[in-house]
Amino acid sequence: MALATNVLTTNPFSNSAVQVYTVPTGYTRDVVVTNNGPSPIVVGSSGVTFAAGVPLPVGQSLVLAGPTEALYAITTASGSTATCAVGLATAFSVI
Amino acid sequence: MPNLGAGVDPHYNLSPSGVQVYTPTPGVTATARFFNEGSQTAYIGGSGVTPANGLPILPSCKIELPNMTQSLFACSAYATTATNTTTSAVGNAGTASVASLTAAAGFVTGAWVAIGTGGNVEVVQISNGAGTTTLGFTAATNFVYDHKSGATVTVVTPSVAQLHVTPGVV
Repeated sequence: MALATNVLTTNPFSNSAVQVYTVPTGYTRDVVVTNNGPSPIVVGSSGVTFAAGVPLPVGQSLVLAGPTEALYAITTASGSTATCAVGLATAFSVI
Repeated sequence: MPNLGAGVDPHYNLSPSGVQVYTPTPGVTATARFFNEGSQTAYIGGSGVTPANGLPILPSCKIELPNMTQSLFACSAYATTATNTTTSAVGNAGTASVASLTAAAGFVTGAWVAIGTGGNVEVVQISNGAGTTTLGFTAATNFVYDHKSGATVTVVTPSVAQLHVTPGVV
């Protein structure tokens, strides 16, 4: 189980891409992104769209092991909002 | 996504054009693990994945999705060259050609080109060579997005990524 520290909960966002994770300088950690709902979201790069990113249903998480790039998220429908929790994991084993 | 039999994980050499790499097992909690075993960044996402919008997986890194119920696609990054032109006709999503290039020098069969700018830029592979004003593309790389007349077409060099996909169920 991933042990998350320094969890950041984003402000509510909608179907306009917002940056939810900034790569820290000087060190690398695993990253856990959890959709806090209430709407499904899509996670990807700066140009993320509904058809292009990785879908993340409400309550689900994805884990990125090792260094990554900045992450962006949007909701999957116009007018819907969601928040997500982004944490830096200290250990890695989810599946 | 090829079915290689039980216990045999697929490995992909990715191009800048998205290819389906994961199909969820229906009716159960399906898991997916992606490991970038190459030296170039891979991107995963939906059917419209490109390096501009996909979820990046850096070399030697992996992503775990404990409950993934949708098909996923992947592509690699690319490097642009100085060879470019513009279109003078619309290219619609689902088609495999774009007409009336204002110049065709440097556009040869098998070359990869990036069309568009910003969020709808995508990479396709040329199926007919230079010497024509209608540029055709391989069927596997039909347009995912619409492209306006006057769109920039730039020859690119693929940065081929190797992706190891481990699908599973709980």
